[in-house]
Amino acid sequence: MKKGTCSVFAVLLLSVFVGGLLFAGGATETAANPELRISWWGATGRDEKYLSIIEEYGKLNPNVSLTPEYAGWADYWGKMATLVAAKNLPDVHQYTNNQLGEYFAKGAVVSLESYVKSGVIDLKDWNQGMVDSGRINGDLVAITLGITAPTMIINMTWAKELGIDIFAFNESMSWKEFANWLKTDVQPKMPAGTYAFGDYSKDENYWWTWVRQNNAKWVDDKGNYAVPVAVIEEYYAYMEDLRKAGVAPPLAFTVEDNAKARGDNAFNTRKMLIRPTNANQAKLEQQFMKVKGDEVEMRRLPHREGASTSAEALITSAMTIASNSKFKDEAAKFINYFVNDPAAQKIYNGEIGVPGSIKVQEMLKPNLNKVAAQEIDYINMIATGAPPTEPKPAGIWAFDAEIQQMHQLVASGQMTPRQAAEATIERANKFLASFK
Amino acid sequence: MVVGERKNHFAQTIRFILILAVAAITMYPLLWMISSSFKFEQDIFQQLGLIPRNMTFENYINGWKGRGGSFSLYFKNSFLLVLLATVGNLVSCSLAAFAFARKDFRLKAVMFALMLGTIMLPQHAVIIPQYVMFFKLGVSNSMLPIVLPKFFAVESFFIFLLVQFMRGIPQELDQAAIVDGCNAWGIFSRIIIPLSQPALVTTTIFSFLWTWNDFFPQLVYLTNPKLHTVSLALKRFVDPDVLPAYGQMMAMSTVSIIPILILFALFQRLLIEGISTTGLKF
Repeated sequence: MKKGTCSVFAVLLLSVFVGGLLFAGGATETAANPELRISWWGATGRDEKYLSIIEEYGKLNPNVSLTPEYAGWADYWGKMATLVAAKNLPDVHQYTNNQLGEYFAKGAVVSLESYVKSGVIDLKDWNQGMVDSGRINGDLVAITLGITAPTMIINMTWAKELGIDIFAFNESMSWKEFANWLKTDVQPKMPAGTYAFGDYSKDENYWWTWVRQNNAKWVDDKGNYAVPVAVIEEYYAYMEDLRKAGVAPPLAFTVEDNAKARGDNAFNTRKMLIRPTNANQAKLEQQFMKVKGDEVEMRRLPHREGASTSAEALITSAMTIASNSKFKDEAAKFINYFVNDPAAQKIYNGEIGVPGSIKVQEMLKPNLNKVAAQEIDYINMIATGAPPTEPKPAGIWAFDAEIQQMHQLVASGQMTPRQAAEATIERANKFLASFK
Repeated sequence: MVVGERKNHFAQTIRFILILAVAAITMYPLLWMISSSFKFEQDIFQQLGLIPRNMTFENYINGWKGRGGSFSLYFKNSFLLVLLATVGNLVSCSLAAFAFARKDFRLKAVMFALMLGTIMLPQHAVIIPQYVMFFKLGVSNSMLPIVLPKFFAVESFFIFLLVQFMRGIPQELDQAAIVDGCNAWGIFSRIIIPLSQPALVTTTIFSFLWTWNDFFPQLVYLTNPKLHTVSLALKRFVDPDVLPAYGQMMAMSTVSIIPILILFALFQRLLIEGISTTGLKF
């Protein structure tokens, strides 16, 4: 091979290295100028908020180098799986309590107790229930950016026109009372082709709440699925009973409705009076109501017979510090700034849910619309005195999609609720075996 | 016109109609995408026809601004990535193919089998150990992990394609070149490469296409938003957390296929020749 040709190749290869390195990160990190990587999920509107807050923090701390990393919801988790395996998680990153248990078990995050005790992360004026949403086995590992919870949203204007009395904001019925109320007081007053209540099968947080209400554990000591078959059967049977009574829509309607864009769904277009959803969706649904003047309100989920509370699952989206972070102290300072600083929270404006700080809630509330303000009241109401929401063990979150599929098998008549419940446990144990 | 000719003409007409019908069905999603890019957001799923009743260019204007960055940045990054990856594939895969097609060496059959075996490895099976390796090298937040392997003949499909083509080049030409004083490098550069043009063009096109459309490695390695590419940017238009911008996504998707269409248009003759002479079936 001629020397000239070898040189060509060498130059080519070198240019690749140089070209690639030109685009590489890698500022020199020292304790005096820490470099924090901060990641989140979302899309443009949310990105702009995070980037603004990061910029503000950077102005106050010019020695800190801040690198944002963001992706859409599904892509975020695809990346996280790779990053946790390489022990290269961003210093500050987020979870919901659907995934937190799984990543905690992998040693991905550190305890934040010492930072709270020393006051670096100040949670003194926080709703305790919201603080506790970030605990695993009693240890605080995540600070909530916002809490949401399952709710049912109601088109109050339409209900009034139809002469339907809706129970008060701070009340709830038992599941049996709720079903009877829908069948006898609500559906008879609904126009033909419309439904009193939506199908809760796609709402994994309804399922989570159902499990909580029954005091069931997700997995036993051996790692097997521990939700009793009777509990699962009742969950499927309840919805099937509402479908058969004509109170909830049939499967085909639900599948089509779930695929519709916001603004065209059954709730927005007066085909459904009460819709199961999460509290942080209420203000978005209000925005897209087709009939001008239709007002949306939230109500609590039904409770178990004889129970004093509906024990709704508190769904947190929370910030954590990576165990591989070299700048944990700085990361803690950043988290404190993000969740407590009035300027930061004004920018964030309850983006992902109701903030845990009461001071921040009071600061934001006057500028919120009616539904968003009610969201704060709703979350505070259900969070106060709520039993702890234990994050899900590894594999449970991924398995939740099976519950919706089982509902569809029951709704299409292919399985009875009992058969579906037994199949759920069988599938769950096969699935969880891969996580052992 | 005699009866036989008339029958022939009729059969040909039917054949053309059927081919046009299949082409129309195949092309419909693409036409729908282009049509939707000129519709207002609320009309995309309401109007079923391909011709928009109310036309708008807003989707192109707003879409180009991007969600989190301008598409000029994303296109620049995509072009750079594709250029480096394509050059890498062409250089390394042609060399590897020459070795397999023309040279004899120990364990050649075993290595060829191993090389073919890697075609069956899914990307997601190797991404974690690959990421760990590049992270330890300190280059995980850059284009290097995506580009560098291309210079080490990792694309077995292209090696196989080139091997098949090179085996079709008569060995007599190599022998004649040896008689004229060529060494192995001379045979490779003066005989094999010029005659392998169709296969090299096929490699170029598919390398371009696959790198341009690739998503997951780019998602994992290109963490800095300034390095994001077109495929990452297109995904941002539709996210469960926000109202999707279908019109802008259709507009930018339409723009993103233009470079590929130009490439196909320029090299389609050579592409067809490259595929047909290698005996590859798609």
